[in-house]
Amino acid sequence: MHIPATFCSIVPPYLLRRLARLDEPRFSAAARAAKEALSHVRYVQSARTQPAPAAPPALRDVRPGPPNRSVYDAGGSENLPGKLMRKEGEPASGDQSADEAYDGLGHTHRLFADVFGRNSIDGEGLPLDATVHFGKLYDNAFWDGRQMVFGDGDGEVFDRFTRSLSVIGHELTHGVTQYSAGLAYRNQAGAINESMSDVFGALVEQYLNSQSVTDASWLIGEGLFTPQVEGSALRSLKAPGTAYDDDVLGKDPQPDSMDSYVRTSADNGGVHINSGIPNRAFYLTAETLGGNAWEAPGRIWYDTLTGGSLPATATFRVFARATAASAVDLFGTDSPEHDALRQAWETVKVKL
Amino acid sequence: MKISVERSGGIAALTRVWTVHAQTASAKSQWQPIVEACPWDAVPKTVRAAAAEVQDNQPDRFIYSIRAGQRRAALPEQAVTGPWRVLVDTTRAAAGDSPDRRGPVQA
Repeated sequence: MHIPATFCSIVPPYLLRRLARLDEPRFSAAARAAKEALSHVRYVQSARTQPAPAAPPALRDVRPGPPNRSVYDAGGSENLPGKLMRKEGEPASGDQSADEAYDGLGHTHRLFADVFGRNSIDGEGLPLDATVHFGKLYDNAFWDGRQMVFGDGDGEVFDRFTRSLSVIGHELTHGVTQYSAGLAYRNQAGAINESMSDVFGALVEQYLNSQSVTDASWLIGEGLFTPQVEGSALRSLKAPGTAYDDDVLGKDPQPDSMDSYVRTSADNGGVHINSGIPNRAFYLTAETLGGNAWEAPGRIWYDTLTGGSLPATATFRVFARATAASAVDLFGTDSPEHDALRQAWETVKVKL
Repeated sequence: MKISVERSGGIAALTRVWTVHAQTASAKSQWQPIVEACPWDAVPKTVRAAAAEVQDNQPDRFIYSIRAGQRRAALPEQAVTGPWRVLVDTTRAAAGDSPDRRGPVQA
């Protein structure tokens, strides 16, 4: 099928860039993929389990077991889970994406098990499933309610999404949130949901690499952008709004305090945008305390997420107060941890 | 007829837009059946309404906002199937494949 387009006023920025650099006329990879898709209309399987009621932490987190991982290959289709490529205990498959996913699932499981005593995503040993090579040049990774899914990227803006351990940790943390606080995925509750995934995604990397607060990059998705993009990562917890500044992709839109809070109906009410505010609150707490962020700051955030008192529709203020209550429970009212936390929320202009 | 597909959301939250102007009679006649195959009256018209209708609001999925002439539709990625998928993919392919676009490139 050939569809003539007499002219196009707006085109994807990376295609503009690529075309600008190419002398010979030829289709972009993304356009080729879209053309291929015309002859194979595929249906996205969507299946999301309902959030399970949270079990009391004492029952849920007694003895974390080892991970039970399975990595599948969608082979460029959008059918989940796909063909089993590597299951728990098997040697490396030789497929880079599958092996990165397998390792990333293990590292994420290890953070939650070793540091927080959580037995997998649901606290009850949920098997960890992931599908790689989803779709054609698919620019995304997501948690569908019961498994992780990774695209290969388009090769022009994005490389494969398994490259970033923080992205793997981010997606699995959506599962933890689903099975604990069950935060709604819109507006401020959605931004807290996103921030939780960024915080624990960053901690997975830091724990694996034994990085202190000052050693860590605090970036989410480092290495995902191709060299053509002027940017280091998708987001920065340390300095929201600075992760990328590209002439065609634009600038990282994250605010770093309530002064620059973004009101929008896009992106489920800006869940990936305003998450910069609680992200920075976590970073500032960790910076003040020093040492390893997965220790006191991570424990405060984890207890807030899983403690059972955080409402699914929490606002930033409700969330901030919940973190303060967790800090008091864990360390006391006059503790450095509580002081650091209060100062962090004050800096990002969220009133306790 | 102007046809545009805007994709927002995703873990990167980078909004992408593909736009095509079908201006000649030939172009209009080829786009018309693709556009009319979609059940425009059966779906939400704004991303806000689309998000509100989603029963399983999966984190980090894309949301599509589609326009064709005066028609509007907003769909989560999971609902972009059948004729919607054809419309989205055709628009992407046409927008990425137009030789006329190369003139004003300023990357």
